[in-house]
Amino acid sequence: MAFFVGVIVVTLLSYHPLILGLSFVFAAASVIYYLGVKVLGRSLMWLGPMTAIVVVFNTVFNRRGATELFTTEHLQMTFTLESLLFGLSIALMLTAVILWFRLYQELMTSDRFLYLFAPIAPTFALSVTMVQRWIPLTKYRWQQIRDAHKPSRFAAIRSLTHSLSALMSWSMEDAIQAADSMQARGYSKSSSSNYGKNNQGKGAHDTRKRRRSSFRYFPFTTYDAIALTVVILLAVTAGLAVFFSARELAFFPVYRGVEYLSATALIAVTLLMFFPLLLEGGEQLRWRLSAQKT
Amino acid sequence: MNLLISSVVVGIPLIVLVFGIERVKPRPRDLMPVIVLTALAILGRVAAMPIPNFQPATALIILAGFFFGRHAGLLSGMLVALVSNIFMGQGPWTPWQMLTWGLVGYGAGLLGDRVSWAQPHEVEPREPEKNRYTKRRRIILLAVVIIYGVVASLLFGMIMDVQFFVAYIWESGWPGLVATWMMGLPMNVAHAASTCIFLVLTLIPWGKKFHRLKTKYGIRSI
Repeated sequence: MAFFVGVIVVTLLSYHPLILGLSFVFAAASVIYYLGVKVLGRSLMWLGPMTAIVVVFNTVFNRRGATELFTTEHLQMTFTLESLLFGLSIALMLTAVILWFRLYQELMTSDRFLYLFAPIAPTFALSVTMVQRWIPLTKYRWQQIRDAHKPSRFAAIRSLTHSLSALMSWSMEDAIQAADSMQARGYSKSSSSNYGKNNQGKGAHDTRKRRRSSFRYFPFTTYDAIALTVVILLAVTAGLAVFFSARELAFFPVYRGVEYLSATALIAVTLLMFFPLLLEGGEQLRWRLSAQKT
Repeated sequence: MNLLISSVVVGIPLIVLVFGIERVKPRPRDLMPVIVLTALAILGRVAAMPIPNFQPATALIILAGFFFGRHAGLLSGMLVALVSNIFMGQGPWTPWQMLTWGLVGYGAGLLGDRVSWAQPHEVEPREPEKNRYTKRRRIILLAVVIIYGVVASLLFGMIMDVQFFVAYIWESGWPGLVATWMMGLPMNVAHAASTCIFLVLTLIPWGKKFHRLKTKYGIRSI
């Protein structure tokens, strides 16, 4: 989590093409490692049009910049090299950030999310995970309703609204039951300490303190602590270094300042973004070695 | 840089609002309608993806807020944005959508507080005079909610355009913003139209069902 926040913040901090390029390359590499080439290709495919819009808008509507590319006579518009470069940088940034997000949502599964956020914001975390469960459930029910209710073509829309309505009430009734059973199993609140006193419910099961019947732990080990510290340190270093060294970069009126980029910034950013792959690689290596020994 | 600042600026009210929901401490039972409606909204949004911006999500968020309280609407709006983007692609726009949709739901909740659904004929079932009154009342109710829905969807689209503008093309100044709005206009109109259609189709019949559910299971508005 800290890793993702760090990486995304660092990417957003600067328009330096080198940093953006690095971010993009590592994001792509991590996506390939965890999810495969196909996912990367699909992501890039729908990102294509969007980045194109960003580039075109920046070029067309931005008149600042000294180096003129060309001017259209009848539109009275000047296209400058700087705004084109600016658009390209931002498009690269956008792509990199979205790839990082893609990775994030694959690695942070719902039980991890719940584990992390339930102590801070129990209602919100619980709702997020429950909605994720309810989506396939609702889809399945929709299929069942539609199977039972094949309309003639003329009545299609009317039937659709009826089916939707049926779906809604079915889901609702069932959801209430689910809520009751969840409450009985102590799912409602993460900390049982303040559970009893905040309850104004009248049901018999409300007043009793219950422990959760199913719960998965993610123990926080020394290994994790070290990894977290390293990530935080790297992120802070990279952030500061990038912020101070890439400040010189300016797009307007002339593109300049690309050469100001301290080595510290570069190394820190590379290490930060390479970190998860490095850890994974180390694990793989150790596994191979131990497999060879036996 | 700008993207970062705007995310933080949007993120802080989001965190405040989430803790606002936590302070209400809703029971799971009160949360369930929100979750069902949110799941429906997300499915609708994903299913209607081929038709750009024609989606029931906003209408369902408004329903959640209107019938189950402002925090329900708020939560529903945030959840729709957060979870449906798992299918449609997370990005820097997620916090913006969460905030805007959340506020749309919250506003619907405020509206629901002002305009009560409780029918006079449910109190006095045998008076025909009041029944007629009910019919007119329902039409007014429908009109109010639909106007709110249309305005909310248009504003939602415009705020999303502002997000796009602030994040990527702010250097282009006012012409860029206006151009973004112009480009987004057909999308926003489609969005408003879909909200309107879904509200007309669902508000009255679903409202009856919601009302029944609330009395049957003792669901409190949150």
